[in-house]
Amino acid sequence: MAKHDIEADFPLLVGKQYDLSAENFNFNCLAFALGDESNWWEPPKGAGQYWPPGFPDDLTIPTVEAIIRCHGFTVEIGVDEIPEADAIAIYSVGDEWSHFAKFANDGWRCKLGIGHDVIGFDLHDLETAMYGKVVKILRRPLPPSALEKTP
Amino acid sequence: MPHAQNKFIKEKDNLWCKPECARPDHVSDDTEWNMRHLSLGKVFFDNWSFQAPIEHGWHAVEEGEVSPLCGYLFHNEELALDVKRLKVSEIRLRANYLAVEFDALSNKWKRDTRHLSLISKQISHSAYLRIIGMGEAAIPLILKELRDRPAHWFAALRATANTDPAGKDDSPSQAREAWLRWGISEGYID
Repeated sequence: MAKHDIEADFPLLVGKQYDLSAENFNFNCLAFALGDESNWWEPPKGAGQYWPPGFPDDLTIPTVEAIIRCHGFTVEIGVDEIPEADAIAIYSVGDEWSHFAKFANDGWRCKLGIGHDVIGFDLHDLETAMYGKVVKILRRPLPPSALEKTP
Repeated sequence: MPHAQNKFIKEKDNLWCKPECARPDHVSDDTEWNMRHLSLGKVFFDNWSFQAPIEHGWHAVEEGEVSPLCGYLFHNEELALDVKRLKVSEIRLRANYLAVEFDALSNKWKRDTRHLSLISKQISHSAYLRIIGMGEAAIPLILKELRDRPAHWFAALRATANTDPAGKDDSPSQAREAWLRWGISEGYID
Protein backbone atom coordinates (compact mmCIF):
# COMPACT_ATOMS: atom_id res chain seq x y z
CA MET A 1 0.00 0.00 0.00
CA ALA A 2 1.43 3.33 -1.01
CA LYS A 3 1.32 6.57 0.95
CA HIS A 4 -1.41 7.96 -1.26
CA ASP A 5 -3.67 5.05 -0.25
CA ILE A 6 -3.12 5.89 3.40
CA GLU A 7 -3.58 9.59 2.81
CA ALA A 8 -6.89 8.88 1.09
CA ASP A 9 -8.19 7.75 4.47
CA PHE A 10 -6.11 10.18 6.55
CA PRO A 11 -5.84 13.40 4.59
CA LEU A 12 -4.12 15.23 7.46
CA LEU A 13 -1.03 13.13 6.71
CA VAL A 14 -0.64 14.74 3.29
CA GLY A 15 2.61 16.65 3.18
CA LYS A 16 3.82 15.26 6.51
CA GLN A 17 7.08 13.41 7.00
CA TYR A 18 6.34 9.90 8.16
CA ASP A 19 7.62 6.41 7.47
CA LEU A 20 5.87 3.13 6.71
CA SER A 21 6.89 -0.41 7.54
CA ALA A 22 5.76 -3.64 5.88
CA GLU A 23 2.14 -4.82 6.02
CA ASN A 24 1.34 -7.59 8.44
CA PHE A 25 -2.10 -9.07 9.10
CA ASN A 26 -1.00 -10.82 12.28
CA PHE A 27 -1.49 -7.96 14.69
CA ASN A 28 -3.53 -4.83 15.07
CA CYS A 29 -2.93 -1.45 16.63
CA LEU A 30 -3.64 -2.56 20.21
CA ALA A 31 -1.21 -5.45 19.90
CA PHE A 32 1.38 -3.13 18.38
CA ALA A 33 0.95 -0.63 21.19
CA LEU A 34 1.44 -3.38 23.77
CA GLY A 35 4.47 -4.80 21.99
CA ASP A 36 2.90 -8.02 20.71
CA GLU A 37 3.39 -8.47 16.97
CA SER A 38 2.07 -12.04 16.87
CA ASN A 39 -1.56 -11.61 17.85
CA TRP A 40 -4.62 -9.63 16.84
CA TRP A 41 -6.02 -8.23 20.10
CA GLU A 42 -9.79 -8.12 19.87
CA PRO A 43 -12.55 -9.74 21.87
CA PRO A 44 -13.68 -12.47 21.95
CA LYS A 45 -10.70 -14.78 22.02
CA GLY A 46 -10.80 -17.36 19.23
CA ALA A 47 -8.95 -18.56 16.16
CA GLY A 48 -7.02 -15.59 14.83
CA GLN A 49 -8.01 -13.30 17.72
CA TYR A 50 -6.50 -12.85 21.14
CA TRP A 51 -8.05 -11.31 24.21
CA PRO A 52 -6.44 -11.55 27.64
CA PRO A 53 -8.18 -13.75 30.19
CA GLY A 54 -10.03 -12.08 33.02
CA PHE A 55 -11.27 -9.07 31.07
CA PRO A 56 -14.78 -8.54 29.73
CA ASP A 57 -15.34 -9.31 26.03
CA ASP A 58 -16.20 -5.75 25.16
CA LEU A 59 -14.72 -2.74 23.39
CA THR A 60 -15.31 -0.22 26.14
CA ILE A 61 -12.66 2.28 27.18
CA PRO A 62 -12.61 1.15 30.85
CA THR A 63 -11.89 -2.45 29.83
CA VAL A 64 -9.06 -1.63 27.47
CA GLU A 65 -7.69 0.96 29.87
CA ALA A 66 -7.46 -1.77 32.53
CA ILE A 67 -5.55 -3.97 30.08
CA ILE A 68 -3.16 -1.17 29.19
CA ARG A 69 -2.58 -0.34 32.86
CA CYS A 70 -1.71 -4.00 33.45
CA HIS A 71 1.13 -3.51 30.99
CA GLY A 72 2.60 -0.72 33.04
CA PHE A 73 1.03 2.35 31.45
CA THR A 74 -0.46 3.67 34.64
CA VAL A 75 -0.16 7.45 34.50
CA GLU A 76 -2.85 9.42 32.69
CA ILE A 77 -1.81 12.66 31.01
CA GLY A 78 -3.66 15.23 28.93
CA VAL A 79 -4.45 14.39 25.33
CA ASP A 80 -2.38 17.32 24.09
CA GLU A 81 0.64 16.68 26.30
CA ILE A 82 3.87 15.28 24.95
CA PRO A 83 4.60 12.19 27.05
CA GLU A 84 7.79 12.12 29.07
CA ALA A 85 7.94 8.33 28.79
CA ASP A 86 6.54 5.54 26.62
CA ALA A 87 2.79 6.00 26.30
CA ILE A 88 -0.33 4.71 24.59
CA ALA A 89 -3.05 6.91 23.15
CA ILE A 90 -6.59 5.58 22.88
CA TYR A 91 -8.84 6.71 20.03
CA SER A 92 -12.55 6.28 20.38
CA VAL A 93 -15.73 6.49 18.36
CA GLY A 94 -18.66 6.76 20.70
CA ASP A 95 -18.16 4.53 23.72
CA GLU A 96 -15.87 2.05 21.98
CA TRP A 97 -12.17 2.13 21.23
CA SER A 98 -11.27 2.35 17.58
CA HIS A 99 -7.50 2.73 17.45
CA PHE A 100 -4.29 3.04 19.47
CA ALA A 101 -0.97 4.78 18.98
CA LYS A 102 2.24 4.26 20.89
CA PHE A 103 4.71 6.94 21.95
CA ALA A 104 8.29 5.70 22.02
CA ASN A 105 11.67 7.13 21.09
CA ASP A 106 10.24 10.66 21.08
CA GLY A 107 7.62 9.96 18.45
CA TRP A 108 4.16 8.51 17.85
CA ARG A 109 3.77 5.33 15.87
CA CYS A 110 0.89 2.94 15.19
CA LYS A 111 -0.42 0.09 13.10
CA LEU A 112 -3.17 0.86 10.60
CA GLY A 113 -5.56 -2.10 10.42
CA ILE A 114 -3.95 -5.02 8.59
CA GLY A 115 -1.67 -2.54 6.86
CA HIS A 116 1.49 -0.69 7.66
CA ASP A 117 3.02 0.65 10.80
CA VAL A 118 3.16 4.42 10.56
CA ILE A 119 5.97 6.22 12.34
CA GLY A 120 6.37 9.90 13.02
CA PHE A 121 2.94 11.49 12.85
CA ASP A 122 0.93 13.78 15.05
CA LEU A 123 -1.84 12.13 17.07
CA HIS A 124 -4.45 14.43 15.59
CA ASP A 125 -3.44 13.47 12.03
CA LEU A 126 -5.40 10.25 12.46
CA GLU A 127 -8.53 11.80 13.92
CA THR A 128 -11.07 10.90 11.27
CA ALA A 129 -14.56 9.44 11.19
CA MET A 130 -12.94 6.00 11.20
CA TYR A 131 -10.87 6.48 14.35
CA GLY A 132 -12.72 9.29 16.06
CA LYS A 133 -10.80 11.31 18.63
CA VAL A 134 -7.97 10.71 21.08
CA VAL A 135 -9.76 10.33 24.40
CA LYS A 136 -6.99 9.21 26.74
CA ILE A 137 -3.22 8.90 26.97
CA LEU A 138 -1.59 6.60 29.48
CA ARG A 139 2.17 6.64 30.00
CA ARG A 140 4.61 4.63 32.00
CA PRO A 141 5.71 6.13 35.34
CA LEU A 142 8.88 8.12 35.19
CA PRO A 143 11.95 6.47 36.68
CA PRO A 144 13.07 7.89 40.05
CA SER A 145 16.08 9.56 38.42
CA ALA A 146 13.77 11.57 36.16
CA LEU A 147 11.57 12.59 39.06
CA GLU A 148 14.56 13.98 40.92
CA LYS A 149 15.29 16.31 37.99
CA THR A 150 11.75 17.62 37.93
CA PRO A 151 11.69 21.11 39.49
CA MET B 1 -6.50 -35.24 -11.70
CA PRO B 2 -5.95 -38.26 -13.96
CA HIS B 3 -7.06 -38.34 -17.56
CA ALA B 4 -10.41 -39.96 -17.74
CA GLN B 5 -11.18 -40.28 -21.40
CA ASN B 6 -11.12 -43.57 -23.20
CA LYS B 7 -10.49 -45.72 -20.21
CA PHE B 8 -11.21 -46.29 -16.59
CA ILE B 9 -8.74 -44.68 -14.30
CA LYS B 10 -7.93 -46.03 -10.92
CA GLU B 11 -6.76 -43.38 -8.50
CA LYS B 12 -6.12 -44.48 -4.97
CA ASP B 13 -9.08 -46.76 -4.29
CA ASN B 14 -11.47 -44.97 -6.57
CA LEU B 15 -12.38 -45.94 -10.06
CA TRP B 16 -13.32 -43.08 -12.33
CA CYS B 17 -15.79 -43.92 -15.02
CA LYS B 18 -15.59 -43.44 -18.70
CA PRO B 19 -16.87 -40.52 -20.74
CA GLU B 20 -17.70 -41.41 -24.28
CA CYS B 21 -16.93 -38.30 -26.21
CA ALA B 22 -13.58 -36.92 -27.20
CA ARG B 23 -12.13 -33.83 -25.69
CA PRO B 24 -13.15 -30.76 -27.69
CA ASP B 25 -10.31 -29.23 -29.67
CA HIS B 26 -10.62 -25.87 -27.95
CA VAL B 27 -10.12 -27.41 -24.53
CA SER B 28 -6.43 -27.95 -24.13
CA ASP B 29 -6.21 -28.73 -20.49
CA ASP B 30 -6.96 -32.27 -19.42
CA THR B 31 -7.80 -31.26 -15.90
CA GLU B 32 -10.36 -28.75 -17.07
CA TRP B 33 -11.86 -31.28 -19.42
CA ASN B 34 -12.11 -33.90 -16.74
CA MET B 35 -13.66 -31.44 -14.36
CA ARG B 36 -16.27 -30.52 -16.92
CA HIS B 37 -17.10 -34.11 -17.64
CA LEU B 38 -16.78 -35.73 -14.29
CA SER B 39 -17.63 -33.15 -11.74
CA LEU B 40 -21.13 -32.21 -12.78
CA GLY B 41 -22.71 -35.40 -11.63
CA LYS B 42 -25.29 -35.26 -8.94
CA VAL B 43 -26.04 -38.04 -6.57
CA PHE B 44 -29.57 -39.19 -6.12
CA PHE B 45 -29.66 -41.67 -3.33
CA ASP B 46 -27.39 -44.51 -4.44
CA ASN B 47 -27.65 -43.75 -8.12
CA TRP B 48 -25.77 -41.38 -10.31
CA SER B 49 -27.00 -39.19 -13.04
CA PHE B 50 -24.81 -37.04 -15.18
CA GLN B 51 -25.29 -33.61 -16.62
CA ALA B 52 -23.53 -33.12 -19.88
CA PRO B 53 -21.11 -30.23 -20.13
CA ILE B 54 -22.20 -26.76 -21.01
CA GLU B 55 -21.11 -26.86 -24.61
CA HIS B 56 -23.46 -29.76 -25.20
CA GLY B 57 -26.32 -28.18 -23.32
CA TRP B 58 -27.51 -29.46 -20.02
CA HIS B 59 -28.74 -32.96 -20.50
CA ALA B 60 -29.69 -35.16 -17.62
CA VAL B 61 -28.92 -38.80 -18.09
CA GLU B 62 -30.50 -41.59 -16.18
CA GLU B 63 -28.52 -44.27 -14.53
CA GLY B 64 -26.72 -46.39 -17.03
CA GLU B 65 -27.71 -44.30 -20.02
CA VAL B 66 -25.33 -42.67 -22.42
CA SER B 67 -25.93 -39.14 -23.56
CA PRO B 68 -25.92 -38.48 -27.28
CA LEU B 69 -22.89 -36.29 -27.12
CA CYS B 70 -21.11 -37.06 -23.98
CA GLY B 71 -20.27 -39.68 -21.51
CA TYR B 72 -22.09 -41.09 -18.60
CA LEU B 73 -21.69 -41.78 -15.00
CA PHE B 74 -23.40 -44.78 -13.66
CA HIS B 75 -23.99 -46.53 -10.45
CA ASN B 76 -22.28 -49.81 -10.08
CA GLU B 77 -21.65 -51.56 -6.87
CA GLU B 78 -18.25 -52.54 -8.14
CA LEU B 79 -17.26 -48.97 -8.62
CA ALA B 80 -16.36 -46.90 -5.63
CA LEU B 81 -16.95 -43.38 -6.80
CA ASP B 82 -15.49 -40.69 -4.67
CA VAL B 83 -18.56 -38.59 -4.00
CA LYS B 84 -16.71 -36.07 -1.92
CA ARG B 85 -14.06 -35.48 -4.52
CA LEU B 86 -16.63 -35.02 -7.23
CA LYS B 87 -18.47 -32.54 -5.09
CA VAL B 88 -15.32 -30.52 -4.49
CA SER B 89 -14.55 -30.60 -8.21
CA GLU B 90 -18.02 -29.24 -8.90
CA ILE B 91 -17.43 -26.47 -6.36
CA ARG B 92 -14.13 -25.57 -8.00
CA LEU B 93 -15.86 -25.42 -11.35
CA ARG B 94 -18.52 -23.09 -9.99
CA ALA B 95 -15.80 -21.00 -8.38
CA ASN B 96 -14.28 -20.41 -11.79
CA TYR B 97 -17.46 -18.68 -12.89
CA LEU B 98 -17.47 -16.47 -9.78
CA ALA B 99 -13.80 -15.50 -9.89
CA VAL B 100 -14.24 -12.10 -11.53
CA GLU B 101 -17.01 -11.03 -9.17
CA PHE B 102 -15.05 -12.37 -6.22
CA ASP B 103 -11.96 -10.38 -7.17
CA ALA B 104 -13.98 -7.19 -7.43
CA LEU B 105 -15.65 -7.77 -4.06
CA SER B 106 -12.40 -8.76 -2.41
CA ASN B 107 -10.63 -5.67 -3.67
CA LYS B 108 -13.45 -3.42 -2.53
CA TRP B 109 -13.53 -5.06 0.90
CA LYS B 110 -9.81 -4.62 1.38
CA ARG B 111 -9.84 -1.07 0.11
CA ASP B 112 -12.69 -0.02 2.39
CA THR B 113 -11.63 -1.86 5.55
CA ARG B 114 -7.83 -1.94 5.37
CA HIS B 115 -7.38 0.53 8.20
CA LEU B 116 -10.02 -0.75 10.57
CA SER B 117 -8.63 -2.03 13.86
CA LEU B 118 -11.40 -4.54 14.47
CA ILE B 119 -12.11 -7.72 12.55
CA SER B 120 -15.72 -7.53 13.74
CA LYS B 121 -16.10 -4.29 11.78
CA GLN B 122 -14.11 -5.50 8.77
CA ILE B 123 -16.31 -8.55 8.26
CA SER B 124 -19.57 -6.66 8.47
CA HIS B 125 -18.74 -4.90 5.17
CA SER B 126 -21.28 -5.56 2.44
CA ALA B 127 -18.69 -6.99 0.03
CA TYR B 128 -17.54 -9.50 2.62
CA LEU B 129 -21.12 -10.52 3.30
CA ARG B 130 -21.75 -10.89 -0.42
CA ILE B 131 -18.77 -13.23 -0.66
CA ILE B 132 -20.20 -15.31 2.18
CA GLY B 133 -23.43 -15.35 0.22
CA MET B 134 -21.65 -17.11 -2.63
CA GLY B 135 -21.67 -20.18 -0.42
CA GLU B 136 -19.45 -23.19 -0.99
CA ALA B 137 -18.35 -21.94 -4.40
CA ALA B 138 -16.42 -19.17 -2.67
CA ILE B 139 -14.26 -21.58 -0.67
CA PRO B 140 -11.56 -22.16 -3.33
CA LEU B 141 -11.46 -18.44 -4.12
CA ILE B 142 -11.15 -17.41 -0.48
CA LEU B 143 -8.44 -19.97 0.16
CA LYS B 144 -6.41 -18.76 -2.82
CA GLU B 145 -6.79 -15.19 -1.64
CA LEU B 146 -5.78 -16.16 1.89
CA ARG B 147 -2.75 -17.93 0.48
CA ASP B 148 -1.64 -15.12 -1.81
CA ARG B 149 -2.73 -11.99 0.07
CA PRO B 150 -3.25 -12.81 3.75
CA ALA B 151 -6.20 -11.11 5.41
CA HIS B 152 -8.92 -12.02 7.85
CA TRP B 153 -10.90 -14.46 5.75
CA PHE B 154 -11.49 -16.86 8.62
CA ALA B 155 -15.07 -15.81 9.34
CA ALA B 156 -16.00 -16.20 5.68
CA LEU B 157 -14.35 -19.62 5.55
CA ARG B 158 -16.12 -20.76 8.71
CA ALA B 159 -19.43 -19.61 7.26
CA THR B 160 -19.03 -21.17 3.81
CA ALA B 161 -17.20 -24.36 4.76
CA ASN B 162 -19.12 -24.94 7.99
CA THR B 163 -16.00 -26.10 9.78
CA ASP B 164 -12.99 -24.60 11.52
CA PRO B 165 -9.66 -26.40 11.26
CA ALA B 166 -7.89 -23.63 13.21
CA GLY B 167 -7.38 -23.91 16.94
CA LYS B 168 -8.93 -21.36 19.27
CA ASP B 169 -5.48 -20.25 20.39
CA ASP B 170 -4.10 -19.86 16.88
CA SER B 171 -2.59 -16.57 15.80
CA PRO B 172 -3.70 -15.27 12.39
CA SER B 173 -0.69 -16.90 10.73
CA GLN B 174 -1.35 -20.21 12.43
CA ALA B 175 -5.02 -20.04 11.52
CA ARG B 176 -4.05 -19.28 7.92
CA GLU B 177 -1.74 -22.28 7.79
CA ALA B 178 -4.43 -24.52 9.27
CA TRP B 179 -6.98 -23.39 6.69
CA LEU B 180 -4.56 -23.80 3.79
CA ARG B 181 -3.66 -27.31 4.95
CA TRP B 182 -7.35 -28.10 5.18
CA GLY B 183 -8.02 -26.64 1.73
CA ILE B 184 -5.31 -28.74 0.15
CA SER B 185 -6.36 -31.92 1.92
CA GLU B 186 -9.98 -31.40 0.90
CA GLY B 187 -9.03 -30.65 -2.69
CA TYR B 188 -10.23 -27.03 -2.78
CA ILE B 189 -6.79 -25.72 -3.73
CA ASP B 190 -3.68 -27.37 -5.10
